[in-house]
Amino acid sequence: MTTPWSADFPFLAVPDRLSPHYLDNAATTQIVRPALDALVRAEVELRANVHRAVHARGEAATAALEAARSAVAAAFRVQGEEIIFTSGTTHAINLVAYGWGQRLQPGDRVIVSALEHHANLVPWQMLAERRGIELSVVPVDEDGRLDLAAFEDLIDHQTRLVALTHASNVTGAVTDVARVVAAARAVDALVLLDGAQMARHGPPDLEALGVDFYACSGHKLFGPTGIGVLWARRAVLADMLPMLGGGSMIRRVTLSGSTWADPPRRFEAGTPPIAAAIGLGAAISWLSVQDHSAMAAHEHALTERLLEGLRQRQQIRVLGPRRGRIGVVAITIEGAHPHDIAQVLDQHGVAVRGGHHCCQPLMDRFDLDGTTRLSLAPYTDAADIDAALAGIDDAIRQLT
Amino acid sequence: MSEALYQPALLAHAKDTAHVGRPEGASLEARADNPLCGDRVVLFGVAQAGQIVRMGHTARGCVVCKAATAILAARVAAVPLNAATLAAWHRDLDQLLAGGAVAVDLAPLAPAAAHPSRHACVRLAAVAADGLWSAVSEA
Repeated sequence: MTTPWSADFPFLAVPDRLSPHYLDNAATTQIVRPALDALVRAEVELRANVHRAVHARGEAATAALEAARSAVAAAFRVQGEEIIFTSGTTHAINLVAYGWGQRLQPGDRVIVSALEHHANLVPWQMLAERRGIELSVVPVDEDGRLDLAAFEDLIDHQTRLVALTHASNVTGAVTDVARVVAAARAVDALVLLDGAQMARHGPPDLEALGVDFYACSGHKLFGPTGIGVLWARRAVLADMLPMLGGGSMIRRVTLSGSTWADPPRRFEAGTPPIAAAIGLGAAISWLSVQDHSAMAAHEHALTERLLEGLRQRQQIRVLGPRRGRIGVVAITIEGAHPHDIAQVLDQHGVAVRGGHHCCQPLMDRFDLDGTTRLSLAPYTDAADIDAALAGIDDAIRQLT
Repeated sequence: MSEALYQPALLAHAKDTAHVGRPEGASLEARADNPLCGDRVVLFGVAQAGQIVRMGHTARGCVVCKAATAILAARVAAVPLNAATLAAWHRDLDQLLAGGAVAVDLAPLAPAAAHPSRHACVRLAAVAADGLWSAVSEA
């Protein structure tokens, strides 16, 4: 079985490939061919350091890196100098928590939620400890969605930043960004979105979303590993402190002190992940020209097939809402541990994730040790879903 | 291979309640957490003459983690935990996970050797046992 996007994913052509039914896309998607080709070309034809060399190879590498930055910016409908290459979403959010958060004072407040991945929680806890600010938490409802009514009660004029997930990596719930932004604007607070799960569903239109920071990872949107993006408005970046010091991020260095380069280079100390960034640019360019409605319809149909199959099995509990969700489905099976379920599914060639998914507060919210998570991508087909359901039946037989 | 992991003997150990809970007279307690998966083992010990003569446990974890904990508790019920028996436990686990010789009571855990991602599940009770033994030493 193939999908309209299968031909673009080289892993599907590997004979006897490991984990043939790959449903761990919330952790890492497979790389798309243009990204792989760009990555290889960058490492073979363009490998040189950037921004300093006068030789042809260095000039070409610099041009390719900056073209990748422009490609990301175009897809996100923002300016190139507002795109910072990071190692991933975690790095991007830490960069904001340090570089922007360091200017906060006691009495200031940052709002996060109980739905957050640790990457969008722990950096703010660290900031709260460093700067003596208040950290407030938006609760999660029974369907695994943000309780936005509670959020609207919580936000006040002390709030400087609202840092929320764009879509949950456990419940799949998609955040009502317009409602969040409206509440934040009313008190002059900024909004950061963790786009790790949402960005692969089509490049975010940051102009339309109206947020101030956006973070995402290459390995979750069909690009290379070890690369990600932080976007922030130019005026916000201009006021941010660098997190790492070293080469490339300076304007002038003397023995008595240093001054900083303008963004984005202020935040890209040292040699950047050049080839990975070029690969990411190619992945996002590929994604931006796909039929996103068709992709969404494909994912929705398969998610419904999965949810319907799960509903027919009595021992299974599905977290997350019926509507307003992406193809990330977390389940529990009464009497079976998520790792054991994942292990049995592996026997069926089905790759899923078991555990707390770096969301321990969310597990506490539902009084769970963990869940088993199945997550879809454009190359997922009905055979993958059916193999997963067969594996789940076997897990129920073996473990309960 | 993973086909053999969930054998009846392993599942039986995971469900074994013989040493679950805090035994009477237990004055020592040690806990080990696996931060990657959130699994947790708590061991309770009754100390006598510088060794642990009875041990109880609560394990929140996978089949492998629970079974390893139950097997350790059964060992301690037969032979007290002291520096020598704890070292033997570690040595037996090392050999098992390296694919080497397997102690008779650990046989149900042997298939886990083929799954490096599950080795921490096998060892979690041993981490807690180290803590329990430290508590004896400090007492």
